[in-house]
Amino acid sequence: MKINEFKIHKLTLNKILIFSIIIATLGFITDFKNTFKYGGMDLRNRVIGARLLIDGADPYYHKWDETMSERFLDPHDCPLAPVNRVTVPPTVLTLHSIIASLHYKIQRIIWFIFQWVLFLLSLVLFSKSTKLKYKSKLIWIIGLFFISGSYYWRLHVEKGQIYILYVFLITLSFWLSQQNFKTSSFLSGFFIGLTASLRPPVIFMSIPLFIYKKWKLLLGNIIGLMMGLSSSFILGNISVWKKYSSAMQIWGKIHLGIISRRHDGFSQISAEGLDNLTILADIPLHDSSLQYVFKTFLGISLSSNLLIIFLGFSILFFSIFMYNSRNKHVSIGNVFLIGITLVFLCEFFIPAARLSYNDIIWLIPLSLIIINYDLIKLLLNPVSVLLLLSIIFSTSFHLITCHWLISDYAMLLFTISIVLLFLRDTNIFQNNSMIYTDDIKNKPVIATIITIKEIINNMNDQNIECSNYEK
Amino acid sequence: MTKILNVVIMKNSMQKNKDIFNQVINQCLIFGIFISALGFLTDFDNTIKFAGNDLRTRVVGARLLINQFDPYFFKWNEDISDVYLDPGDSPYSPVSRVTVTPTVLIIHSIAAKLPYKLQRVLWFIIQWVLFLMTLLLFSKSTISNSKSKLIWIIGLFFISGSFFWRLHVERGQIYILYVFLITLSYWLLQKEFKHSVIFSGILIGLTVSLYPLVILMFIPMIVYKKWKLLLANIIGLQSGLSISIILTDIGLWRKYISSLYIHSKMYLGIIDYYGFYSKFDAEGMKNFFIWNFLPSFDASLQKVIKKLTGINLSLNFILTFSALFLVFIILFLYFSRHKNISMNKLFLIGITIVYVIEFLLPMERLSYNDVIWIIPLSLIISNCDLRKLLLRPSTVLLVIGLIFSTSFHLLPYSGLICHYSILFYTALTTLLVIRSRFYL
Repeated sequence: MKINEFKIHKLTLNKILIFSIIIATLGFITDFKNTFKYGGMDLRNRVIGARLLIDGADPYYHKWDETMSERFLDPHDCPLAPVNRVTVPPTVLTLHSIIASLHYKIQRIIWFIFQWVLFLLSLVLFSKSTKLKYKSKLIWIIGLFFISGSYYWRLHVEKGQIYILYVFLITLSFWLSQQNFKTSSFLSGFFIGLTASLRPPVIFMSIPLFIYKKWKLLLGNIIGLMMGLSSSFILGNISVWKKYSSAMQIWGKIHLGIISRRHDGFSQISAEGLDNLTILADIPLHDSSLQYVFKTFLGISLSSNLLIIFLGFSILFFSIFMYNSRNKHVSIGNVFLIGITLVFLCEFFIPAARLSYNDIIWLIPLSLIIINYDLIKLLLNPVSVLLLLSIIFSTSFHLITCHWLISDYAMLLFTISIVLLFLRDTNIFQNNSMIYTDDIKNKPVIATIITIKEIINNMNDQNIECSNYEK
Repeated sequence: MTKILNVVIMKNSMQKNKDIFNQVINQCLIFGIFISALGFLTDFDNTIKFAGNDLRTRVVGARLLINQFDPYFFKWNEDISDVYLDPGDSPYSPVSRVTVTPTVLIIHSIAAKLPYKLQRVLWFIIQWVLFLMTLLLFSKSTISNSKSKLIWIIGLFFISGSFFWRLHVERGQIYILYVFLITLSYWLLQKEFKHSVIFSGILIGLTVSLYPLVILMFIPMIVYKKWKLLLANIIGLQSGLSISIILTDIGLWRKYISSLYIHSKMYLGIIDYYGFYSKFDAEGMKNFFIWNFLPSFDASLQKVIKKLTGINLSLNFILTFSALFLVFIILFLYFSRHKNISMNKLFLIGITIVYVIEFLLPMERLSYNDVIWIIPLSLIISNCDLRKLLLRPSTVLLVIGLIFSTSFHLLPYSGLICHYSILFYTALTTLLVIRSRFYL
């Protein structure tokens, strides 16, 4: 029995896709309700940060008091903490300032629509980046079923988070890199740079660009980064960046428990006519940063410096692997995959909370893996068990202890393993060959699941009774 | 020659298919065990953290029974010992929260004198033991190794991993006991020793005395004239009732029935009640009002209609509708009956009737009741030709139900989708079974 990619296409992808659309629709309705019911605590602090920046105030150390306008009140902030809750760089605040003068309720709705549009656009761009129809469908299924149905996407939309913007920009950058017009590579790099100015860890995507000598992309990257950083000077100046940097150091200490942040909150909890700003949806929220996990499960307090050193070593390790394969043909898709894996890895090392909504980044490595690799070969590899564990625990078994830990770290390990396996042997998951069922024996679950349909069909053809089959 | 070659190729292909099929089953089973182990740890954690409000009600009921108080209409006050305090009860409602039969209270009275904390841990262990025993008995009831494994997979992966099993254990519910007794009865029936039918029937009868709705399992027995089994049922029921009447008195059953009637009225909003004994701790435990926010849905038809359409069905209407539906089931069974019906089929029909009617009663049908799934699903796996059955469109309902039992809890109506998918799947499959399809 031969199994190739064409056979996978014959599986019930369409039916799963329909089911995924139903799940996504239900998810959209839930998010719509949540937007009206809850205040969006993380959107609120960015909106206030942007308003403060517009008014020339310090967005990172500002503390509201009753003499000030309610427009600057973040009821979730702690009046006694040295910093407020704004943790995004001035570039993000500059971007937010476009709509910051609108009423918060309108911004909340705009941001809800914005998040879903960016999410769907990311899926459109990834699905358009492959010529194979079944891969395109698979990307939609991963997106609609496993990501839009996941608790972390619910959390992302309810909190009014911004990670989907970074995901979209990187996706756009990848899509541009696949186009053939003259400045496509430059523009692709430009968007990576722009994203890095919004989300600093994205800067690590430059490492593979450098090692694999993608000079046009790298140039675009530098210009994008410069442009992004320059834009922040429209409203602020260099001192805002200094304050951002010092505020982040304080946040590092808060995360470690060196500085306590009492959750006293402000006595006034309503602002701009809204009294739902402090109401939070009952959605699981977990911190999967290495610092938190070590402290919680092992009682070990990892200092920020130690984490940075570990991160440095990890990046060095990856760089050595990349350097060794620098002369082999590495497609731009793989360069993106390596880059995003470094960013993904870095997120866990940052001495700050890595909360569940960060998992929206999964969309990028998963889509790139689907696009770049022969899925049968990939699924036959034992590491696919990690993928299975991760996606199951991201949508299911939320009432089971530590489901988030399994889900997050399984995905991290899966992505790292795939990248390392690729760097060791660039042909390992290449799209080409046929695979026979004999190869599937003693291989992971996922591979055999693929063959279930095959078995049922075969059983049907041969008209074998189940009882005989058992004998 | 070509024929021989074809046979060889086919055999070879069958062997390969069998290997892969077994491999899939084994790996799913390993994953099921993993999920189940994590679920067990979560349940243990919940047992320590939360008080188990439904167990408390039964424990207090049993203690009241031992001390010859009325467990159904009792109201605690500060002059009474806190061993009789059910903090979840409302001081203003006309009845207590006890809704189980006197027979259940008698069983509980065995351990009722122990400190509540100890009973809580014991009940946690009992629930898990009964659950695993149920799976063991069902898996032993089929000679097919892969079907046996499939029962374990459904149980460990989808049921022990489900939100409703978390809820069952956290609340300290008792439905798993009824499920176990029915399973034991089914297993005994499979043994085919001399009096297996009698023992099996007695167990069903006993279960009826604990959970009266199981009496509906008698219907197919009457329709198909399984008099021996029915007689055993009556003996079992009679024994259960007699024990409770001898140890207490007949008046207690009257009080039980009248309290249920009041509960129905409270459920329909005809009688108002409010408040809890929330400011009081009991037996040194302060965690009675620390709720574990596990998803729970009231899937009773009355509640669903009210939620979706705003129509409040009256008590008389619900009872009339349920009675008419039951008459329809009986007529359907009567007119589609065969001369020879296997006991397995009889069990499936019986338990499906119980399962369906649970949705029609004017009472809460909360998510933990779904632990009953183990019985119809295991019976279907054990006795049906899965190849034919899985190729039917109704399988979609099964897949949706199983997915929603473990996933997507944050989506609207996920609980209802889960409960009703499996209900429709079971009802449809039972209908097919009645019409003699898919049964081996």
